[in-house]
Amino acid sequence: MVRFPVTRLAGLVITLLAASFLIFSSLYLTPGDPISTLSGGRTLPPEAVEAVRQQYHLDDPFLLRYLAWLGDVVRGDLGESFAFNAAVSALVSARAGTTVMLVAMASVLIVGVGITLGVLGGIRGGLLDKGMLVTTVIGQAVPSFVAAMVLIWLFAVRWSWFPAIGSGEGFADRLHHLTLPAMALALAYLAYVARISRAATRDELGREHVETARARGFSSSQVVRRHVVRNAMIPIVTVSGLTIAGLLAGTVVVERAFNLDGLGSLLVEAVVRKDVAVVQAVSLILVTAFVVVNTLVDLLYRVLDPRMGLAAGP
Amino acid sequence: MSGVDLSPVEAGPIAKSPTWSRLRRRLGPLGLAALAAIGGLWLVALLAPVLPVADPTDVDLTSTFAPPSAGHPLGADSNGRDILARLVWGARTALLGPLVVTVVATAVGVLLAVVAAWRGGWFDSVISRVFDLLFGFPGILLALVVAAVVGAGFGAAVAALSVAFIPYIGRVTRAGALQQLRLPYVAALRVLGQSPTAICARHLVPNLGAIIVAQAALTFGYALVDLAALSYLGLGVDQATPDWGGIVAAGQADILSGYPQQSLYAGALIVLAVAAFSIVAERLAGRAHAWRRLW
Amino acid sequence: MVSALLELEGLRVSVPYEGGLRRVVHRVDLSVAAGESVGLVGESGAGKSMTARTVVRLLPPGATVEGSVRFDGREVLAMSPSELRAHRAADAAMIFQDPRAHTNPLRTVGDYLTEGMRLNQRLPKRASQERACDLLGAVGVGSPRARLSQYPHELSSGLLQRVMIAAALSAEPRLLLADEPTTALDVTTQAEVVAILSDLRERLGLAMLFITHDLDLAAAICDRTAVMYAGSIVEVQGSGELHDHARHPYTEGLVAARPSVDTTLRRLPVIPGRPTAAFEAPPGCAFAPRCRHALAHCTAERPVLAPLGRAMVACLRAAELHPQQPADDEETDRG
Repeated sequence: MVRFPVTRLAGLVITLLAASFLIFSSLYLTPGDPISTLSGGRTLPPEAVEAVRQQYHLDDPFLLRYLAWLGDVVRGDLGESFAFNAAVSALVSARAGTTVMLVAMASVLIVGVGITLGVLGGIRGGLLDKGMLVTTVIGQAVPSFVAAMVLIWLFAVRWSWFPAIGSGEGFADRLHHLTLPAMALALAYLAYVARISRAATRDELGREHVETARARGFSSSQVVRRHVVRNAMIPIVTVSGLTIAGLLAGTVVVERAFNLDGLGSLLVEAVVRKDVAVVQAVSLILVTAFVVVNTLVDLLYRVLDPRMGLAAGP
Repeated sequence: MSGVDLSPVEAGPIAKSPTWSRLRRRLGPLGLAALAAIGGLWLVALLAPVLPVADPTDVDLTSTFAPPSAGHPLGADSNGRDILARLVWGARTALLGPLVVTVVATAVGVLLAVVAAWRGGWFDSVISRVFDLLFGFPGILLALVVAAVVGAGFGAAVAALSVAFIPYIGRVTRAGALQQLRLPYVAALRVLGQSPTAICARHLVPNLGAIIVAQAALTFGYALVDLAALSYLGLGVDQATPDWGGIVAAGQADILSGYPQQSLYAGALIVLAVAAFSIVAERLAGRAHAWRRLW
Repeated sequence: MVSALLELEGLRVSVPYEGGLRRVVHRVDLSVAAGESVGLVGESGAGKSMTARTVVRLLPPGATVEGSVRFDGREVLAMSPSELRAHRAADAAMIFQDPRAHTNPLRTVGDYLTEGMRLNQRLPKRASQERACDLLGAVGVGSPRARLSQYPHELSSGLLQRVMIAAALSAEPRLLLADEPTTALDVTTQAEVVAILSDLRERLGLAMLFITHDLDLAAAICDRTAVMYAGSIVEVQGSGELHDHARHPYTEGLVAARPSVDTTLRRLPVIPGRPTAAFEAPPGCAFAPRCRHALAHCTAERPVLAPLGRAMVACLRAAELHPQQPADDEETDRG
C-alpha cells in the first residue's frame, strides 16, 4: 500500500528531470554559440566571458554541464542575469511573493465560488441551474487578458473601486491591488470548475446508492449530505487541483496586464530582453510547481477514494 | 406443451439516416448556432480583402477616437484607424494560427497515438511518457521559452504551440485506439491479411473520427486563446499586422483614457470564437466525462 | 377475513421518455397478506420492478401513478413527504439486483448498516453497531465486527447482497420488496441467498414481494406467484399449482421453456416473437400475437383477471382451454 506513492514520486522526479533537461538544452538549440545567447547578443569583456565559461562549464561535455547546472539549481544558485544585472535567485525571490499571493487568491475564488455554485446548481436545478449553464459556457471562453480589460474598464475606470495597475505595498494594499488580477485570472477556470461541479453532482444524484438511501426513508438533505456531496467531491477536487496548476501559466499574462511585479512578468521581460538564464530559471520554477501540484492532486484523489489502494481505513 | 417453432425472426430494414441530419441532431440548436458563428468568422477572415471596409493600417490623426459613423462603423482608435477594419483583418491571423496548430497537432498526435497503441510495448510506454511530459508543459510557457531562444514571432509561437498541443489530441486518441484495438473487427481484419497500415488508416482512425474531431475543435479554441495571449504580450504576431490579441493590447492604454471600444470589441470576438468552438466540440463529443482521466 | 397487508388496485404507471410518457404498467391488481410471500415473475419490460417500486413510491422523476396502493389500509400514493419517509423507514424495505451499485463505495459497510438505525430510529452508535453485528450474523456473514470497518469493494457480490438484506432488516419492516436480488449472483450464491430469505421470513413473519424472471426460483420461495406480461398480471396461483397447472398460455410457454433434467427433448421449445412492454402492446390481449391459441376476438377485447378455480387468469379462452374437472377441485382443496 505504501508502494504506490513511491512509484508516483519516482514518476514526479523523472518528469522534473526531463523537464529540466529540456529547459537546459534549449540554451543550446539556438543559432550561434551559447555565450552570445546567454549574453543576449551583447559583447562581453573577456573576464565576463571567462566567468560564464566557468559557471556554465562550457568546456565540459554536455551531460556534465547539465548535471552541474542541476546541482547549482538545487543548491539555489540560478545563475547571473545579464539583462537585469543581478543574481537570478535574488530576482526570483523578490518577485515570488506577488505571484504566490495572486495564485492563492485566484484559487480561493475558484474553489469557494466555483464549487459552491456548481454543487448548488446541481442539487437545486431550476433557474439557478439554467442561468449558470449559460454564464459558465461564456465564462469559460473568456481569456484572462480579455477579462482583465473588462474588469479594468468597469471597476477601475468607470467606478474607481480598484487600482488598474501595480502590486501595492503591505499586505492589505496588496490584497486590494490583486483583487482585479485574481478575478481576471480565476474567471475562466471558475466557470469550468462550476460546470464540472454541477455535472459531478448531477451524476451522483442519479446513482443507485442514492436511490437506496431514499428508499430507506432519509430526508433529501440527509441524502444529499451523506451520499451526494461527498462522492461528487472526488472528481471535483481532482479538477480543481488541476486548474490551480493551470493558474501558474495564467499568471504570465495577468501580471503583464496589470503591471504586477511577479514571476510571470519577469519571465516575459526576460523573453523580450533575451535573458536566457532568467527564462530558464523561471520556467523551471513554474513547471516544477505545475508538476508538483498535479502529483499532489493525483495522490489526494487516491486518498479520498478508498477503492484506489492508498486508503488505510475509514 | 407448446409446440416447437423455429421460424426465423423477421428483422426490419435498417435505415441509416444521412450524415447531415445525424450531425444536426447531435449538435442541437445551440451547436448549429455555434457552427454558423464559426462559419461566419471564417468567411469574414477569408473575404477580408474584398469586404467593403477601410484599410486597417490607414492612420488618420484627425479622427482619433471618432465615434461610430458611416466611415467608421465601429469608430476609430487612438491613431484614427478604423476599428471595424482592424477587427475584420485581425480575424485572419486570429484564425489562421490556431488552424495550423490544430492541423499539425492532430496529424502528429494521431499518428503517434495510433502507432503507440498498435505496437504497444516499450514504444507505447515511451510515447505515453512523452505525452504526459509535454502535457505538463503549459503551451504558453513553451512558447515563451522558444521565443526567448529563437526570437519572438508568429512562426515561432505557432511552432511551439503545435508541439505543446500534440498530447491534447494524442492522449485522447491513444485511449480510444486502445479501446478499438480490443474489438473483434481488428483481429478479423488481421486474419484476412490486411496490413496494419491499412487497418489503421481505413478502419481504426475513421472509427475514432468523432472524438478526434471533437478534441481538435477544443484544441483550436485553446490555441486561439494562447496565440491571442502571446500577441497581447507582444510576442506573437508583429505589431504592424492587426490581430485580435494585439488589438486588445493596443487598446489597453485607451481604456484608461475612457475609450474601451477597441479592446472590448476584439475581446468579444475572441470570446465568441472560443465559445463557438467549445460548444461544437462538446456537442460532437457527446456526454464526455471531461473530468475522468484518460490514462 | 384478514385484510391484506399490501393491496394494489387498478395500478397504472407511466414513465417519462423523450419528452412524452410511456405506459409501463397497464393494470395491476394484487394483494399480499401479512407474512405471505408473493412472487412477481415476467420477462424484461413486463413492469415488475415498477410495480414493486410504487409500494415505496420510488419512481423516476416525472413518472405518473394512478390507482391505489394501500399498505395496512393507508394510501401510499396520498402520503405527504414526511409520512412517505416514515413509511419507507419502517414499513417496507427494498433490496435491489446489483448490491455494488446500491452501496456507497466511499462509506464503510458498518456505516451502511447503521445509517438507518442512527438516522431513523435515533439509536446511539454503539447500540446500532451491536445490532448491525447481530443482523450480519442472521444473514450468515462471518466475523461481523471486522466487516463493519470494511469497504464495499472489499466484499464479494454475494456477501454484499447479504449485507444489503441485513440493512433492509435493520428497519424491522413488515414487507420486504426484493427486486431480482439473486439475478446478478452465481447459482450457488443464489441458493444461499434464497435460503437466507426463506429462513428470515419464517423467523420474522415478514411478508415479501419477490421479483424474478425465473419461474422455478419463485416456486421455491413464494407461496403464490403472479405472472406479468406487458404491464399486466396475466395469472396468479399458488406457486406449486402454477408450475403443474398453468392456466395462461404465456405461463405455459414459460414453464415449457425451462429445460428439465427429467425430460428428454430434441429441441428447446420457445415462445415465438419477443416480449413487449405495456406501451408497445397491441389492442386487445397483449399476448395474442405470440399465442398459439389466439382467435379473432382475442385481438379485439382486452382480458381481465378473473377467477378460474383457485387461480386468477386474464385470458379470454381460459375456461375453454382448461375445463374445470371434479378432480381438479379435489387437488386444489388440498392446498
